[in-house]
Amino acid sequence: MHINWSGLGEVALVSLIFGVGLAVVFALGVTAMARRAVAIDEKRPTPMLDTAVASLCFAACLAAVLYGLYLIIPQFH
Amino acid sequence: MDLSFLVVVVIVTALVFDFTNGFHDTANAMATSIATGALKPKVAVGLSAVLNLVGAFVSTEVAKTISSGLVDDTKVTVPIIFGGLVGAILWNLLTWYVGLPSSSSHALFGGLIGATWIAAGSGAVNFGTVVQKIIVPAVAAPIVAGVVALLGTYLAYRITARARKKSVDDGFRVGQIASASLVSLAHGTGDAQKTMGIITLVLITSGSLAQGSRPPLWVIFAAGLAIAAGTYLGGWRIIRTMGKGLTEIESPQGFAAETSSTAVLLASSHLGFPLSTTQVCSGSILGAGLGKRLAEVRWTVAGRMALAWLFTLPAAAIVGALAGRVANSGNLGVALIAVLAVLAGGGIYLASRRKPVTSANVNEYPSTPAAASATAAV
Repeated sequence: MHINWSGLGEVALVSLIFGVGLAVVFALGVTAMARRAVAIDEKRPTPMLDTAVASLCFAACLAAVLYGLYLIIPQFH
Repeated sequence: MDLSFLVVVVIVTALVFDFTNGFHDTANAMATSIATGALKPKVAVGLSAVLNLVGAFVSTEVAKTISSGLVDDTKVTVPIIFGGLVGAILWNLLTWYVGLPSSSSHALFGGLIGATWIAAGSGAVNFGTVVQKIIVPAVAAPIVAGVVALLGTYLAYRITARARKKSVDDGFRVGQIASASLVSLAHGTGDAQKTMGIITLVLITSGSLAQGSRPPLWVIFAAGLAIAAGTYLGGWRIIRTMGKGLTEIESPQGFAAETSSTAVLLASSHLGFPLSTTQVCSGSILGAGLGKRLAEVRWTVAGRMALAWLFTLPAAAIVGALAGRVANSGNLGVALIAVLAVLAGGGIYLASRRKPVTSANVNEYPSTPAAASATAAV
């Protein structure tokens, strides 16, 4: 009987990087969006930095979704 | 195409299994989105059904062997497959009735192992492969997914702690829809395939298709539609357990859980260490519960779930063994088992109607005062 421990370790590591990483990036994006929404509500000018951070974070998440689709759909590879 | 009675019965049984697979697994992708209100219950199952159907058409690369080496595939006959399917269907129905998620693939493999064991002896079962491909992944899956979801949840709450709650919740709800959709699509590409593989291999064994044929179009259609119909029906009893029973889920937790599930499932299927969807998703939800506050997980529910996983293989194996044994005696035996299976399934369905769980009450947990005091006591 052969148990592929290194395979399991690899899966755990990759899952950790992507799973936790995406949660962090998305949370950063959501926080920036929330700050932006508060500024708009208070009739302050929308902070450029928040807009930029939110866009960047959500773009990264979108890229991850597209990569996920690439992995799921066998016609792509 | 001249099909024997047995082959027709097995094809129908395979599609019924596919259908139970669908409604049993809706919870994996959609339970947390339904629980947090990211999607309305009916919309969630509809979306999941469509994505499962799409997944079925996208990937038709079916397995070359029925059991992927768990049993000696040269010893697997059509009555054995029939017995295995019956064992898996009954286990799926029983666990659905008690509202517990359990792996449909483990049930199928259990049924096949039992049926093969009785028909061809214990020598035909590769126990080493069973440990390697079922038991180790079953233990590893919830741990890996749980740790990822726990860390993700913890950090998501830390990062958003000072942001306006409503904006945060809305943001995570949108994210949940994306990750739940990916889980559904991945499910369709994996699980519908299994049924296609079984039907195709049965057709090859019976001489209706040439060796090494790909699944005919009607098989792809039938398998895709069966799993989508099952998904749309929604296993509300299981959805309630996973979305509400295990822990109270808020949208950041739902997002962290779904993201963890997606990451683990995609990593596992592409790095060659397949993990069961059910165990990954349950582990993620547990982890998400722990990531917010340790006390929030109902460990009795988690314990019952673990027990169901432990029994999946042996229980399906026993039913599979009996069904396969009787079916092996000829058409009369096959008909007898089919009738008994329909009666048992119908009985479980009727029992479920006494306290139905539907899209309307799926988010109410616990459902009865008695259950409420039982939960409060622990």
